[in-house]
Amino acid sequence: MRRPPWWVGGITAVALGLLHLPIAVLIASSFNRSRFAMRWDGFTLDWYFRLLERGDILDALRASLVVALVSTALATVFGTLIALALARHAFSGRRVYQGLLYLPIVTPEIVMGISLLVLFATAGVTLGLGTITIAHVAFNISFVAVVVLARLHGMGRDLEEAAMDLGAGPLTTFFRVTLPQILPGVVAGALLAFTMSFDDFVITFFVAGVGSTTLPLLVYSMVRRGVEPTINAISTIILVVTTIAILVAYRLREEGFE
Amino acid sequence: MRRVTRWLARHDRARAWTLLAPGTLWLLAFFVLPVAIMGAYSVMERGLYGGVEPGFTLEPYARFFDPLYVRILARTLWLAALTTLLCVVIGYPVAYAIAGAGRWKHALLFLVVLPFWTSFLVRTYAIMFLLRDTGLVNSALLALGVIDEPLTLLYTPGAVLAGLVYGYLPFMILPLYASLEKLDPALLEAAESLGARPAARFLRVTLPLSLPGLVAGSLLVFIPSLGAFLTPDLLGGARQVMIGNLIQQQFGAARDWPFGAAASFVLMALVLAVVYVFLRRGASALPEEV
Amino acid sequence: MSQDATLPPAVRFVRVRKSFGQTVAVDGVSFDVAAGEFFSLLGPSGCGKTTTLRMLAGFERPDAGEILLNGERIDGLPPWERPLAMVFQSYALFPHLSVARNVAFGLERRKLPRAEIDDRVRSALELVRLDPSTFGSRSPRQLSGGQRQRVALARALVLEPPVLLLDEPLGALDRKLRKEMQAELRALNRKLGTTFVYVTHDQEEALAMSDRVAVMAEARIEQVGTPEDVYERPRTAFVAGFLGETNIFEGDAGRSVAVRPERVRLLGSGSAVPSGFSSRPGEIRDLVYLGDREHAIVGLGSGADFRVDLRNTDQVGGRAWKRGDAVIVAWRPDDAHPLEDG
Repeated sequence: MRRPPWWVGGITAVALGLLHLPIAVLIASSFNRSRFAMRWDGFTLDWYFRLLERGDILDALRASLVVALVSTALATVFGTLIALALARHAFSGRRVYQGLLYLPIVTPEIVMGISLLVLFATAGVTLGLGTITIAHVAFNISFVAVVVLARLHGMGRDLEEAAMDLGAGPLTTFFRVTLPQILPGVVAGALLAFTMSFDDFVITFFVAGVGSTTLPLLVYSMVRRGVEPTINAISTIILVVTTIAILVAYRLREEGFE
Repeated sequence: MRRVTRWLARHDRARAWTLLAPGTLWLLAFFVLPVAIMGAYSVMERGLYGGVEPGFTLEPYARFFDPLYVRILARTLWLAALTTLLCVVIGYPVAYAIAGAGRWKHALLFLVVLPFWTSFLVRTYAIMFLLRDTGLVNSALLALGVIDEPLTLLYTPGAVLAGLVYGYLPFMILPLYASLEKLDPALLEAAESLGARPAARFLRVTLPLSLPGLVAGSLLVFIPSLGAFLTPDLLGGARQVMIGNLIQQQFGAARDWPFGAAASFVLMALVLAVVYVFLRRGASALPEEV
Repeated sequence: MSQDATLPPAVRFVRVRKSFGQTVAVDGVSFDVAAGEFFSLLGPSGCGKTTTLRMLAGFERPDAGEILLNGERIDGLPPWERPLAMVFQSYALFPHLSVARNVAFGLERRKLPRAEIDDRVRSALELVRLDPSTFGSRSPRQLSGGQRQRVALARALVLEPPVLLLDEPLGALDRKLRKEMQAELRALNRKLGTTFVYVTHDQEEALAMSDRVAVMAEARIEQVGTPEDVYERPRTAFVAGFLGETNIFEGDAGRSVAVRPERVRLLGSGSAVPSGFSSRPGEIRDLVYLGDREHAIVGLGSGADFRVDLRNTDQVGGRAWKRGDAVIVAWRPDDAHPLEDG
């Protein structure tokens, strides 16, 4: 592509600015002594200290991390296996399967959340961290499979054939050749799954039950009760953590894998 | 173990289904089955305190012709369409500029991706924080003397629209960028040397060749907008209900599971219809790689 | 070549300069192309030939100098206002348009009536020997490389441009097809009377097709002349070396001199050197068999190698040479061209 005209650059600058303005205001406000965005009453860490006084925030954070880690691990394994089957094996109905794989992705979250709620209610399952984890695995499998599949398609089979030609069995070939090759895709899929799980609100909202609260659920209930500066502080923490994770992921990709 | 792997190595189909089994079973149990149950509930009688009673009726679907629900459906479609349109109008120049930004390309792309990776809830809240009576927008307008008292920005269709555009803009930019970035500059030069002015060059070459990205981006924006729940819930309030909120109400306060299930199926049908139409029409417009 | 003294040259470059950042791509280049001429810009990659062509097309703006088309300056015009047409190295066929729509693209920009467009598209496709009814509705991706080449040509020629620009258009074709297209391009140039400006790095191609060749190196033109001029009478060591093989050595007057291998005779040591010939003694270091001819590499006393072409039909004296034979290389002084200092 070639250099765009100046006004296209102008629109871009404004759009990118607007994309980041709300978050910037939020972060700035979390350090503002005033409750109002327009008035700067001086720098403070008060809102952060107030977070520490609340035990429920740490509990919610712990719940979110546990759910995200467990569901990411399961979804990554399941999704990678599906991708391998789709990319490496001919079986009847493969194209149909690949099409159906997109169904969980395009299904509105609200439909998925409600239908799981109905399932658990009908089966008499107690809602809690377990049901949340089950739901997160269900919506993440397809995402991981699609990401890994893209990586597998970009890769020839000659390395695997070379390994087998040199006497490696199917399992050795997989662990010594295929897996290292697709690892960037698997890691990318896992990171996607982790963020989606950690950030998920809608589906979690329906399958959480009374006793278990993840971080997004807690933030939501705080927001519903009314805007207050501690939400800015907790949002800033979430933003900083996810941004660091993304930066690390980018770095890893640039240095180690590509 | 050895014997098993050797047998599997010889039987491609069996190997494929061994790999597919765990994920497929999970999806059957926790995606297909729940949706099937919903389908069944959508044609059953309503239970008194939630749940369903045995029986068969199409009444839940018939209720969609009630003007109240027609309005919600229309609002949903209208907001989703407008969101998509705004994302195209804003996203196209951005994608175009980034694709032509040379060595700044990756840094700019990162700026687009960053909000996409950060919590949707936090971003929606950020919009709320900006638009409320004492938020930055109102305060700034007051300070500038443009207005005398705060405008009601929250709990309006505009607020929902702003939230949806803000939430899904990166979904438009990324595929557009991908297809614009692949555009061979020689094609633009060919158009110019054949007498195409910049406007014709854009309409006849750039735009048609970026159609795959435009189709993909529109799909990625329109679909989640149709099913939006959080954005209208937080930014739209009680009066800007979209179909997602309607569904939630039926399983919550209204305790009308059959109608909620029917609404879910209507939403699903809409989404699948959109996917089908976009992919059919889009696929015929897609120039394959030469 | 139609040389009418009253007409201004079809294309004229006057001290045109272009640099990209620190790199000078074209450094004060001047040349004329006569109307109807087949003119080639020849040089290795990075010599500035493509930039020169792109400035003529309008894709790059010169930093200094003038570009004239039929006596009028065009260097300020954007590409779409220049009546030239270009055939791209990659063909640059629009993948979303059929062959016929590709060819019609430029005519549509000129807002011609539909019927005329259809007519002209048909004759343009016929001109490049593609059957309009078979190929018109096809997509470019259904065509072979040679067919794409023809469509690209038709798309440019249909505009009846006064000057056709070709940027290494045959580079992607295999050898046989390339030979065919060379002859066809030459024939089109003659038949239509259109001026061709042709960029290539293939010296054989340039010699075979062109009326005149401009040899470029390091952002400058080294020599402009007919193929015979630049081959037989190279002005610089670069031109002598780039066009075919040559032996460059210190001549008797102390200047560098070039002799083509095919103009050198190989004699057994001790045989008489024909009168008037220049000669040097040496020893055959290697013989390279090439089918129609054989290359002898003769080491001279000074340490330099000297190449001699031995045609398969008339190996001198009918004798077969061996490695290590002591020999004399000899040439007519007329065949040794003094070179300018590069």
